[in-house]
Amino acid sequence: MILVLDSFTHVLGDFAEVQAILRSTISTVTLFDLKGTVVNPTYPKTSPDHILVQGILENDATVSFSARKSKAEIDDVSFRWIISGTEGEIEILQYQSMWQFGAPKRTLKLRVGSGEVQNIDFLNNDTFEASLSMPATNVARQYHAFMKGNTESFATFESALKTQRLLDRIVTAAGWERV
Amino acid sequence: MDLANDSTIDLVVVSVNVEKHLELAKPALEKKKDVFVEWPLAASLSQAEELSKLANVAGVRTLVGLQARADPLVARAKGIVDSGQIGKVVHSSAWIGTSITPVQTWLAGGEYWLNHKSGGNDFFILFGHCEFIVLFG
Repeated sequence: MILVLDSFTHVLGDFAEVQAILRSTISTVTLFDLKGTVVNPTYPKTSPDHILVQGILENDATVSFSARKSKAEIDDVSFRWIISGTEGEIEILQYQSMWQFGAPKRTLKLRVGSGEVQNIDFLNNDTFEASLSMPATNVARQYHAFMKGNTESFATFESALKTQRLLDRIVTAAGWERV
Repeated sequence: MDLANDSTIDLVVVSVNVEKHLELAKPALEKKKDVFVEWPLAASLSQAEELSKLANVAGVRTLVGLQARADPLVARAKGIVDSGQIGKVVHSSAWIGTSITPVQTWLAGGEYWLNHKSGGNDFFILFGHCEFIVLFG
C-alpha cells in the first residue's frame, strides 16, 4: 500500500543506529485518592524513570538524550538541548515544565563561531503568548495551525506514527518488552 | 457513536486515557470525520498503525497532540539550522528532567502512568513529546 508521504518526513530525522537503556529504579509507588488517603502504599511500578538513548542519525549526526527522575533539577532547567554544527551552536532551555507546554521561561541562544552569544527573540509577531497561559498556548497554536493547514506546525496520524515507531524501536533497543 | 453519526459535527476530539484512543476514534474515522487524538496516538504501535490506516482510507484530516511542533521556539530554531548559520549539524544532545511528575507518589485512578504496558507514562508521554530532539539531524 502506498501511503501518502507526510509533509513531516523531511524533518523527522531517523536513527541509522540506536542504543538505549531504560530503567525503573523506583519499583513501588504510594497511591493516594483525591482526599489524600493512602489507597495502596506499595503499588508496583513498571514504567521507566531513567531513559538514556544515543545513536547516529541517517544524515550522520551524533545524537544523545537522557531523561532523569529527580526531586527537582539542580538549576530548575527541565529541558536543555544543544545542537552543534560545524560553524556554531544553538541551545534551548526550558524551566520547570514539560517540553510540550512551552513554559514562559524558555530561551533560544545562538553562537556562531567564537562570536558573542545571541539571545534569539523567537516570539516575533506571536499573538498567543500574551493572551493565553501555559499549557494552553501551544495547544491553541496547534489548533490554529490545523485550521490554517500549516502542516509544518502540527502532527497528523501519519507523522505521529513515525514518532511512535521510534519509541517502539527504543524500547526494543533497550531490551524491554514492546507494548 | 453519537458524535460519529451526527452530520453537523466536523471534528471529533479524543482526549482521554490512551488505552481508549483506538476504540473511540475508530467509529469517527469510519464516518469520515476529521479527528484529533491526544498524544500518544495509541496504546501500542499496532494500534497506532491501525488508526493511521483507517484515516488514510477515510481520507480525512487528522491531528495529534504533539503541540511542541507549534511552538514558535521550535520554528525559529529550525529556521536557524536550515539557514546554515551553524553549518552542518554534527551533534545534538538533550537533557530532560522529569521532576514535574511526582517521584514516589501517584493518584489512584491514574495507575496507567506507572505501567510500562499501558503505553501512557513518563516514557511514552513525557519523553515522546521530546521527539524534536531528532528534528534537526
